[in-house]
Amino acid sequence: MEISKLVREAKQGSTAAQKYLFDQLSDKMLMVCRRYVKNREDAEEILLDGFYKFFKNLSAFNYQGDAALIGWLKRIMINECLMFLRKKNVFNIVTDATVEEIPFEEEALNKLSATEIFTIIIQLPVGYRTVFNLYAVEGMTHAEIASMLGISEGTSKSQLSKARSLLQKMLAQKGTEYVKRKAN
Amino acid sequence: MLNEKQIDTAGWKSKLEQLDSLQEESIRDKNISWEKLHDRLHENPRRNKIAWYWAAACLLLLAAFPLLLKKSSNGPVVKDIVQQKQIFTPVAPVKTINEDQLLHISSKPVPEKEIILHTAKSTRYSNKKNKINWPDAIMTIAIKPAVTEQVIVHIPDTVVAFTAVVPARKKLPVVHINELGKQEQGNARFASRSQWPSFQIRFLNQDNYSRTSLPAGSIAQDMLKIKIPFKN
Repeated sequence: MEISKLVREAKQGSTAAQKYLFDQLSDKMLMVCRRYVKNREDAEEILLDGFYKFFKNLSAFNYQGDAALIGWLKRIMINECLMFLRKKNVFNIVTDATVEEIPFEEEALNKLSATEIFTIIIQLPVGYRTVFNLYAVEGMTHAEIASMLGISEGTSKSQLSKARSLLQKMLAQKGTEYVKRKAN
Repeated sequence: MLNEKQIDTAGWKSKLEQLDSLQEESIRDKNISWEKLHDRLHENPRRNKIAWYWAAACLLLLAAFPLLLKKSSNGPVVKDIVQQKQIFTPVAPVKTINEDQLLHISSKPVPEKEIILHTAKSTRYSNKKNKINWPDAIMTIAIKPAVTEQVIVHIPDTVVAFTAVVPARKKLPVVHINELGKQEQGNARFASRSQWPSFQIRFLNQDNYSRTSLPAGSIAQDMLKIKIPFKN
């Protein structure tokens, strides 16, 4: 069934259409939530909160294509995740005076599969992970990230730098393991 | 769902974006999750009801607020409580007689519930509070029985204030001639023992004392009739 039709019916209050949309989009959105919130149970709760808001505000949404709908839903999920993290007070990050710019070798990441990239990202500490996700994956600026998380731009930059540094180490370790595995 | 191998050649961001689900990362039970979500979505009537209750409570409070303000601006509520208070009022001497006339007082019947105190000549009874100076004569003092008077006491409308304001009832004092103090007794001139008539007290109905040595119906007997006005 077409998503546009499902959205129209869901707007009119059709439970079946709402369930179908949930079934279609929930796994993808859970992946988004899991990138921000490591704990699986928490991520599932956030997913339900996000879908609740999605269905509640669906009547105000002007459907302009599947990508727009998914983008809007993704944005809702990210906001829910950030709200959850803010409630847990995980953004008490101390800013470093000097921000060391580390060149990030994206080539190393490109060689990895989607699952490996996902696994590496969720292994980052919460502050690094959040800033990395918002900057590198969602494409936000440091100013936007700073206002969303209630931190300074410098803190956002330093968190990203540290995240990249840690990712490099993890990728290097992964490469070594890969070479070892190949040798064996 | 795109296959991992299909998106392997793309950039890492697009790989991540296009990653729909992982086997181990999907929702455990979609039906249960949907049921939870469905319940939440159809919770509205209850929430609306609660909102209405809150609105009603707020309105009630708003309505009561001016009344409370008015009440507090008027000060504490005062209730008029009529309290029965017993007071003794000393009456002016009913009769002034000379020493010679001690035993020849008129046979006028003593009004009920009156205490008659006898003092000797030159007795000066001074009550510091009342500053009553009695004349230098033998007097018959009548103290009126307890008179009830209505006193309006203003009491705030609270239990605590009520208990604090209402005075405890006092027992009415019983004054006997012997309790007037040494000075008064010293100054008093009593009849000598030989002049005292002999008395025989007869208890009739707890109130009457009579002197039977005197002839019945004599003036002295009438005079010494005492009726105790109240019980302690």
